[in-house]
Amino acid sequence: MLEILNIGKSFSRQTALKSVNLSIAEGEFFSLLGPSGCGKTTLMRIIAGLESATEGRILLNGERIEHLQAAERPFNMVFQKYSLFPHMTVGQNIAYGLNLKKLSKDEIEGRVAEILSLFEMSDFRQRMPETLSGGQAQRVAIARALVNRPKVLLLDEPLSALDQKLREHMQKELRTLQQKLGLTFIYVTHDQEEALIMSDRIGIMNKGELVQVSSPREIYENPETIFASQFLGATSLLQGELVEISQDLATVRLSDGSLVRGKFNIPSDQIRLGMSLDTYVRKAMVFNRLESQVFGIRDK
Amino acid sequence: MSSERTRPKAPRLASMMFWIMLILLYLPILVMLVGSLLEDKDGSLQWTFKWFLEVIHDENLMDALKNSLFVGFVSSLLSTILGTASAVALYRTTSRMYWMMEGLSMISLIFPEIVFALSLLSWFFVLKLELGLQTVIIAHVSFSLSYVLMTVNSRLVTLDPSLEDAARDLGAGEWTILKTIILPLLRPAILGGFILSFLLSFDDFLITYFVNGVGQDTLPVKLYTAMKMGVSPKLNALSSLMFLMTFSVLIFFFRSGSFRILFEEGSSKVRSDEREQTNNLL
Repeated sequence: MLEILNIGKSFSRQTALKSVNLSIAEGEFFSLLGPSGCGKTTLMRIIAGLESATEGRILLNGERIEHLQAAERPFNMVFQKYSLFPHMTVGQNIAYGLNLKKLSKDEIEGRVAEILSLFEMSDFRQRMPETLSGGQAQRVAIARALVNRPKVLLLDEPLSALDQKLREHMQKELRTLQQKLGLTFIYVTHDQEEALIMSDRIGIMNKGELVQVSSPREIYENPETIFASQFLGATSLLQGELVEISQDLATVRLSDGSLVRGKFNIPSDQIRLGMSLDTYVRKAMVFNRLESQVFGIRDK
Repeated sequence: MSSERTRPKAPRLASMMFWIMLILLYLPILVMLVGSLLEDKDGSLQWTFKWFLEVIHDENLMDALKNSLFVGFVSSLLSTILGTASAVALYRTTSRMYWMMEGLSMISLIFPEIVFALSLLSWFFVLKLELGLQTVIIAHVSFSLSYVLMTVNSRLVTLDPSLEDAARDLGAGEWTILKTIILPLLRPAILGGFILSFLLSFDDFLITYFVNGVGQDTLPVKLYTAMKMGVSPKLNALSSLMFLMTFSVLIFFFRSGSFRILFEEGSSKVRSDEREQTNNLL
């Protein structure tokens, strides 16, 4: 449905995105996951049309849209800090996009009422944003975007300002909503757990590159790079010595004498027994040593 | 923080200084106010409103008041429009340009007033503009512009840029964003700039005196010419009236909240951050 082809963005001195390729299916909950400054927000803003890419194309159902203004794209965005208009009531905030589309009064009224009841916020219609709690404000922000019936909803770390408990609640709520409406969500987050819980697929970004795109299970169990595995927080770095090698499995003796066995990523011509290795051990599997995953980087 | 806890007392010297400051600032005004309310009747002083009535019934003075109000209103309206527009334009320009323009526009805050007056006068001479209320208005616009720019700008920089993004994303063009988001959020600052310009214009003597035409005195100029013939209770009454007018505008200014943004740059931002934190606790 949405295809991102070779999208790149560079500022005068630095490259923010390096030819990103990505294809997102209709009705998919897709997360862009990565540390701050990895380019995930930039990519999302390019998709939204709030920033322009220096190269590449964006296709929506086969049609090029990269030249369209944000206003002309059938996407809507939920911002990190909610960005509700402070001088308008909840109702006016939600109706803002509809008013610009010059819909009839009745239509606007109907859609605002409908979305408010969907979010169980009907009683808050006349309230000003500053009187809302964080969770309420976030619901209004999502309602304000959804009321325009976008083809894709873009969410830029929408839950990062909420406390843990509320965040967990909103994660479930968002996922349920997305499945109920059958909408395509692109969700930017730096929270691994959040991405793993909510998404159909996750794209991991690092330094402006999309390093891996897979399902949460796949990405957790089979991170393709050390960065991905470390960023998912599932690994610990331990020093060890290579004691055995068979096919694609290496056995490493850690400094406390325990043995771990797992996959490795050193070219075979550089490998020799007795060499010192950086060993990344999966936390979840650390008790089951035979299944540990071992990546290696040669020590100096 | 419990409100029951009493705050420690300021050192005695500091509170003495405070009283001295109050006396320096307000005693002369008090003397003027009292002077305008007293009448010397056969050697004994009596309270009276006589001088105020005389001021109100003096057609010359009332004409000057009308001129002052007219000049004040028109010039502050013009400088509010121009100042707001330039602040918004500056906000959108690139950083280097921004600092230069902002610096240049502050000129009337630091320029010696008399030099400013002279330069305006020679400029009007070059343009062959006839001196009169129109030149007074132009002059007032040129010195109050900086204040509007400063007030509006200090508010603009506290605006969250993602609000504009949100509006753009919802389908708003640049003009719609300005009309529906930026200007409404700037309203207190714009109002503050307007009131400040009005007060500056209403107060101004020096520049007005230079660029004014014959027979179109504003109130401060009238007061000055009258003062040459000696201070009378009537002049005290006139001054008191001017003081009260300025003062009531100032009180309105304070209460509307527009005043805050002038002196607490960025404070609204801090406040909203705090609110966010407390909201998160809910």
